[in-house]
Amino acid sequence: MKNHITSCVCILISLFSVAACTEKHMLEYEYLAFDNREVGFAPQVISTLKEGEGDILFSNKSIQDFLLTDSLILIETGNGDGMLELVSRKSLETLYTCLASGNGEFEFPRGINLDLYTTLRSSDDSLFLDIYEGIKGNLFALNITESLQNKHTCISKRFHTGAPAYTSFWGKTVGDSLLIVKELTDMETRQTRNVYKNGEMSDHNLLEALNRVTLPAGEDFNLLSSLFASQPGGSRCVEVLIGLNYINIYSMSDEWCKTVCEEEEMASLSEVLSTSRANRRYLYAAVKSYPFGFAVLKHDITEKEYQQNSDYTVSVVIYNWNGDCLGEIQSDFKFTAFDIDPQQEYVYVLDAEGRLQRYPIDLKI
Amino acid sequence: MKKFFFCALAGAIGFAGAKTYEHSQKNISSDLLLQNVEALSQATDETGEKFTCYNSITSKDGCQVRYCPTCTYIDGTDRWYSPKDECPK
Repeated sequence: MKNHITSCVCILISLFSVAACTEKHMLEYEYLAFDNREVGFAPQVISTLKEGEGDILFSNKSIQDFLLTDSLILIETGNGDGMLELVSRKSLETLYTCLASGNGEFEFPRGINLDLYTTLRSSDDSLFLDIYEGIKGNLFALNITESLQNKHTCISKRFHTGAPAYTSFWGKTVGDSLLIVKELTDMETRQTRNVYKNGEMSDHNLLEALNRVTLPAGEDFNLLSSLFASQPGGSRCVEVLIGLNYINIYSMSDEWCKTVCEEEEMASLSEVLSTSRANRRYLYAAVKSYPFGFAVLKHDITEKEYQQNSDYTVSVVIYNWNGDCLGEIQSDFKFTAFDIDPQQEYVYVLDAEGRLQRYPIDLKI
Repeated sequence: MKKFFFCALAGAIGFAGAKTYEHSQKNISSDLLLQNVEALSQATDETGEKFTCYNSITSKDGCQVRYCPTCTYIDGTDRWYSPKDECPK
């Protein structure tokens, strides 16, 4: 009798486990990554920023984000009129202010987020800022050089891609002819990278490894969200996953691609989905690109810590375009945006109080 | 006793089989209909379809969220404690 009951219980447990297993593995792809992967490397600390030891460049200016060029600081002001301010790096004087929010032909209904919708580009001895407007689906080019020379906003429409079906996460140009727009698709379960070459939709087989990943309906689609940057004057691109612990690097001119992960193990999508929203990690907050490589703003905090504005520190991790880690700039304070001047060896940061500061760094590249 | 044992075994096998069948049907349904469902949903935008949205949101670069008061997507994410709501297109 005892043996019968024991056998019965064992069989029941086994069968329930089988049934449970079929529910657990519902994702077709567990990683938003390429097959070529490098994991488990510890970045070498090359500089440490100590709060108060930097130069405060601006303390009362409205700065949401900023970008460095050789001679300018481009400032995203967050103002409805005068969204972009061009400031001299040498004198720190405002040279020109332009662009406005609105629904007019050259206006931007949801602003000009420098990180998500703009790309700096040099062409014919002029510096351009490509700006993707994601509501109607237009790509504009602001000629910064001419605008400064003539004190008149020189902006033109490059091409029209059409309004996204749901929404776009970012729109960035690569080189002179490519635009990549990341859109929400498939009933809010997938984020698809659409490539446009000179305005016409174009295929790139490499991106299928990233575009094919979907989440179950009703899950937070921002788990697939990323930040993007492209190599100035080149064809390499980088996507940092906001809520996953790895970075994807790929080429738009050939089939080269790589996924890098500092930690010993890459987080699977199932693992993250089984974590409560409050405790999910928020890892990468910004990415900037340079001819030699790219740098990412990293903080390892939970969603709850981020939204509660808890105290945490951040670091900037620097890579070359082959995905080799060049080093880490640690800090003992929090900043929300950054950019690096590789020639003068400075890092510029926007701290939690909205002050733009500059710190010297030891950039061994 | 033997009858009880075999009844329990049959019941367990039946349950596991039903769960496996249900799971395979879900997968088949979503694989087959995904592209068509998107087209269908767009076609029903004008019929008063409701969308999942959030009333409490915060900024987060690279993310998008449908904000209930406007029922449109904006840059940002929902608060971690924010319950889902619905809004008409």
